[in-house]
Amino acid sequence: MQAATASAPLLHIRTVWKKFGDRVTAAGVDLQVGNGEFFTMLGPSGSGKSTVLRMISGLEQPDDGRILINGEDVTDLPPWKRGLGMVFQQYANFPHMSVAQNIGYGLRRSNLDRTALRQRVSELLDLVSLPGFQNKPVTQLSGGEQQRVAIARALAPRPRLLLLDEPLSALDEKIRREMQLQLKDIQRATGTAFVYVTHDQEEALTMSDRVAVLNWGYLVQIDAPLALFRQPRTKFVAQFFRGSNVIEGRFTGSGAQTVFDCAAFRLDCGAVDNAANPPAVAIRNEDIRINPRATEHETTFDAVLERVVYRGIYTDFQFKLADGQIIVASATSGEALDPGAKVRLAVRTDRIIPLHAEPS
Amino acid sequence: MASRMTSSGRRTPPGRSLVWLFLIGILVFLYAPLVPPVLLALQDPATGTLNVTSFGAIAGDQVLMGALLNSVIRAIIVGIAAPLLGLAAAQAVRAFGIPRLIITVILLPLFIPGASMGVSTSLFFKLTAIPPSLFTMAVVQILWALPFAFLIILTVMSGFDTIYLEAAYTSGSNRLQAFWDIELPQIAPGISGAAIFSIILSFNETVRTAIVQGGNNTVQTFVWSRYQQVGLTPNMYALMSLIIAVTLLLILALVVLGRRGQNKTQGRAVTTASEG
Repeated sequence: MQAATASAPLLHIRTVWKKFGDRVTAAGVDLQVGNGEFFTMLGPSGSGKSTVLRMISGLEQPDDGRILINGEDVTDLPPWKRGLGMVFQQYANFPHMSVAQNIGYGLRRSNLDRTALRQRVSELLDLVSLPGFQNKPVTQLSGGEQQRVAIARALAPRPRLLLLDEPLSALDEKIRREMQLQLKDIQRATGTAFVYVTHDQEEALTMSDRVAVLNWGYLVQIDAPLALFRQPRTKFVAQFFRGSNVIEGRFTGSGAQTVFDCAAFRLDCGAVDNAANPPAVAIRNEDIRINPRATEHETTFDAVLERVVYRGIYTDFQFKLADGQIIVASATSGEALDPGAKVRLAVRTDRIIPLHAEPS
Repeated sequence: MASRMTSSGRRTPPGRSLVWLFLIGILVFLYAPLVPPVLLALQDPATGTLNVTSFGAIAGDQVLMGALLNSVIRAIIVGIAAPLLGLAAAQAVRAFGIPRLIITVILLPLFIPGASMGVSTSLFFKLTAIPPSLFTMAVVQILWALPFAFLIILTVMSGFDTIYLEAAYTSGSNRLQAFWDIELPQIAPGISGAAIFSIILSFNETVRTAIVQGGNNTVQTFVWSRYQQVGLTPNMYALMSLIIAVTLLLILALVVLGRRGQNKTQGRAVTTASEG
């Protein structure tokens, strides 16, 4: 491994553009990943997250922009000269090789003697909780086991950065949840920076130090999971994390005195630059209280209950606002309410998030 | 009631015997012509008794033995060259964004009638002042075998997922290493199949070869000219029997290889499917 340039981030993607035909899959994406970070790119299919990952790996070439690793420009280097590891959704273990041969594949040019090689393979198998799997044919392993072999193979040469392209998407729910925690453990144990691609919001929130949300090739927001969840930047981000209401309204006033105004309530926004059009705010379902004794920090408004949806741990109450917009509140306690009931709702004012325009 | 149901359940549907009849008819049509040479080869023409002297006589025919050696050398050259060229072309189909064009260009010579192809190749050699030789014969046979070898390799390669190559690249292997370590072992059954098929095609090819053969014979051109000049002899019967036997053995090897390749891919498909 080469020494990092003092100030340079581990990975720096500088205004990278990529088009496939008419489809833009990376529109001036700009981001940095630090040492030891678990960084996730989250987005629906077609958002460009996998393309950005493949450009980091060298499997795709950007049309424009640069990719730097430890300050070194690797944009024109082929994948085999970038010193990165990659894990694929389809595992891509070599079917004609045993588990040990697969893991050892990336170590061939590392000048390890046989004993050291065997030692390293066994270390990696311990790391991914598959001790003693050396001589098994990879084709006879379960999906979860295969993916762990693939992770061990990618980590074997001690890469500067591990790229993971939807590695858990082919696994079933239960295994996927176990693997999320295990991946986080592996990442902590090795201290390797992970760049992880997924379309699953829960996966992103569970494992990541920071999450980048992408849509139509644009980077919409980069934040820590909690900030992303609590303070979505745009309507797209708010709706991508399920359980958020987007209420539209209009602005009155201007400059620092801008006020968001919808039929139900008014909200002082201060100065809003690049606001969503039409103006909108996001409110998470669980932040809405029904018929409360409101405090001064809360904004209150009237609504009519439309329907009640029982979801197990919590219940969704669907309300209609005065202008006909629907707002959903989730509560764990079963409110004894029937459709048609007129209620008063309250939300902590700082949990009403003014939304910005989508990047374009 | 129960017994009646059982008996009717066991009865062969009427269509079934018809299918068998057709199948037998087709088999007779295909294989009956191969039987007389074998029977005649084993029969002493003078006495009508069973013996194998005709087979022995083959070994004594110097011209034939020379032709056989030529055939073998040619088959080896074609069996190596055609799969290699076919592999290169199949790689090009995958690498360049114009698969249809490449496939058409490679397969087109297949549709040119043999004699025309042979004559034009011969003319080409004449214009370029290349005298008829083992080399010119090898060239026309490679031209003939290449489209087949190409198709076989292309088929096997289409079952190979290039994600394995990407995994190899990101594991530090360049294109050549990735091909050698990862792709070649997985498409090997297709390449050996193409080689065997090319050997058979080389051995069988007569028309194109005869036009550029010059003074050299192959087994097929020998059989062809001997048939035209002398007609049928017990030695010819014996030779044909041998050729039939060897060809069938090679085809058998091809089938076995094909099955092994299939089992491998099926085994993979089963494990992938079981992950759901």
